[in-house]
Amino acid sequence: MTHLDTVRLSAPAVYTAAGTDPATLWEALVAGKDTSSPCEHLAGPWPPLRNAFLVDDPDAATLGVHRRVLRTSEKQARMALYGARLALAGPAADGPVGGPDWGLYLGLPTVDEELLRFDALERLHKVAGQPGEVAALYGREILPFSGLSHLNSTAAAHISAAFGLMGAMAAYSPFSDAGLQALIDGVLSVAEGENEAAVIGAVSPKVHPLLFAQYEHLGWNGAVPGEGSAFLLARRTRAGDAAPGVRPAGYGRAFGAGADAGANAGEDDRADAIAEAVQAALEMADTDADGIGWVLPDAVWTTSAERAQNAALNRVFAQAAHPPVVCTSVRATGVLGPAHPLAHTVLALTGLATGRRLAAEGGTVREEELPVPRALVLACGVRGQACAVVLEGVGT
Amino acid sequence: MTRRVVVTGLGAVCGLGLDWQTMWDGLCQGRSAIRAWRLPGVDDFPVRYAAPVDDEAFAERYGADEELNRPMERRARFGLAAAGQALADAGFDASGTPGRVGTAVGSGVPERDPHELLHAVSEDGRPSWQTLYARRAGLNPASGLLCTNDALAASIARRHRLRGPALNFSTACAGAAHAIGHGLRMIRRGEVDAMLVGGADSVLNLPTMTGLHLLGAPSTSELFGDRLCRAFDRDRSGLVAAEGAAMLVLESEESARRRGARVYAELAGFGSSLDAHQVTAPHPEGKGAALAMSRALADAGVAPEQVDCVNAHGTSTPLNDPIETRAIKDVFASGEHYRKLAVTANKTMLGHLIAAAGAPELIATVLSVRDGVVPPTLNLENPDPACDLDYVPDKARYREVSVAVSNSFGFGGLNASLVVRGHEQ
Repeated sequence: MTHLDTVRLSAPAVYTAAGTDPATLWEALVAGKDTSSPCEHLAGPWPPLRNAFLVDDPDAATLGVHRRVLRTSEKQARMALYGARLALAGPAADGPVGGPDWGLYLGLPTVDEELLRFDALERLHKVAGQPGEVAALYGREILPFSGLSHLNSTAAAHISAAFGLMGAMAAYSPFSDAGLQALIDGVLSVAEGENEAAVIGAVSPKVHPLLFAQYEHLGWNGAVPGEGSAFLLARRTRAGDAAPGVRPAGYGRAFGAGADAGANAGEDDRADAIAEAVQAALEMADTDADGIGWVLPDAVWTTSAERAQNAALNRVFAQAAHPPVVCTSVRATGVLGPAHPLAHTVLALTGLATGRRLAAEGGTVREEELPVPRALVLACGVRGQACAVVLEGVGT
Repeated sequence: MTRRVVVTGLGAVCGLGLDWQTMWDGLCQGRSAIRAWRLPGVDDFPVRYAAPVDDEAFAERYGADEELNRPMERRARFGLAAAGQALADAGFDASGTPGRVGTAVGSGVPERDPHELLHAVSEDGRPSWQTLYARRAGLNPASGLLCTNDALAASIARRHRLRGPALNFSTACAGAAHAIGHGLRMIRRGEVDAMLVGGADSVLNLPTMTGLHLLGAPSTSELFGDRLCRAFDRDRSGLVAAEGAAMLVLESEESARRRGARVYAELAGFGSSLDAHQVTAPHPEGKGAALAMSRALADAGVAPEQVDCVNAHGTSTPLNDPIETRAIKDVFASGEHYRKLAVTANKTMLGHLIAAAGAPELIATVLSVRDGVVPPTLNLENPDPACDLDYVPDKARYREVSVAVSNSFGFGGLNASLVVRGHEQ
């Protein structure tokens, strides 16, 4: 028994290139469906990519909001709002949603978009040597609500306003660890009685040339980015509720202090931190490497993090009598940044509910029986952050 | 496992000074860091006052520190400096820290260089992404295009070899308060033994200040000179932006006792909330703000009647101040206890450190409890009738402060409150 026993995870939702529900994502992975599409931003720079895993920018009608919401949001916030709407559709049909006991925990990227519109650069170029003219240009060209639309936490404000969430909250940024931090602290807010329910979600950055500039700077391994969001609900179990479900069984988080983004130095430290986080999660879940049936590692996009994660997983699971299968959603979603570990959580909820798992083999993904009702989800931040969560099927 | 959490280290870099002692002395003396300010080379930018860090003094103090002189954003430089101060103040020497120590900070939007995107403009004057790609090696690693929000927490953790979790909070002006509150929770649970928590921010650059100006957030008034930040005053007209950082070392009481560490105060409670109202304005009845304060008090096991002081968010904006006043009156309504509170607005002296704001204000709250001094709210010459509490105008007040609350309310209704209580050594 841990203090997480009273929490159940439900209402999984994803908005990715593979579709708008977990079953469609699952099927796309098994079918090997190509869900990528050409990206105009990639036509020319940042080869060799031509395609990315893109989603439509949700409009006001899709989001169920007034058009003015679009003025104070950017695609990133709108993807988040849509993910939350997909997740809360079911609970809203069952009863009231929102209020002072409903909290919100989000993993958010930095908003990676030029503040000055790209087509204004020609004018900026002409006045570049005159600070007063540059300031005047900014005053004219920056959109009135850019101070809000470029603030990543505005996504939290929109979701809160749309669903009446007034509970305890937090938002983390900017990489994949932010998504699992949101899951961990959202779950804890319910377990510790701060919230009756917590909406937990994360969103990817918008695919944009500046994202690639940043990725390259940080040691990009060429992984294809994707857009989307993933959400779920953590809720306290009601007394006497024996319905099957999935609970968070354990978590761990650490930092590889010697790690440095884009460099190999500190890779051992980073692997140590990931292994430490996994061991802490296993211990809290009162299990060991043999108790995990499915590992959903991070979709890491730097070479250094990739090697560190592999080393850590080898270390933890090398002695397991029946090592778990490892599978990511990356071939159907691309790399989703903060949303990736939550998309994996959503997949794990689907698998734990049905007793199935996904296993990667060569270029394909196959579905098979899940031998033990536990899955491990990992997130490795770019600079050495490490988070791990063990999910467990209850009565499934 | 529930453990008491105490504050054992402080660090600050702000317009009032480059260490917490100077900052605290300035606050108690009613000195203001707000001064006439202009963007370099820009005479007619509408925002004319700010509270910047003294670059010359900073360079003099930290010029020999190689780590701090690597290319990095200003906020990261200030944050690293404040973190080093706090860890040294707590007695954590360079060779290691006691037990497992994590890092949690709040930081805002990356600092963008207005000229950085000119790398995308080709010889013929036309912008293209291909051009930017070809010149990407020339991008400045200390500019917003390449900077990410996790850099500060990671840099602190790496420099001081802190192996506990490293988190960055993005909750606008409540970022530092959220980081501090979650640090408290992590120690309570036994997840870590200590946390380095706080925030760093610098918005005094053209792109961010333009964005804030277009929202109508900063005051453009020139009527009051450096007395422009007028929280709770009838003539307030907007926030006055600042930059800097503040960090605190939080530690379990057992760990502090084992080390024989000096304890400033107990961090007793944390509460957060959402307004669920509008992105552009706080809840008109202050419901979110009141929820954050009530939750923090409940978390601390403190009754509203036990509170002596509220370190207000107090932004000097037309909307915040009366709404915060209303929220305080709601929370402390029993027996009209709100009439007995000393409410202070540090931003009238520090300016608004945006995502970092909650950190220097928590330091001030901690020291109010330790020293029995409530810093004044400056420039409160004509109180707004809707702001009718005791805001400690003009001069610091010497009074016992057993329990104090510190408020931080972010854009879009993301709220956090912290409760500080005196600690018996």
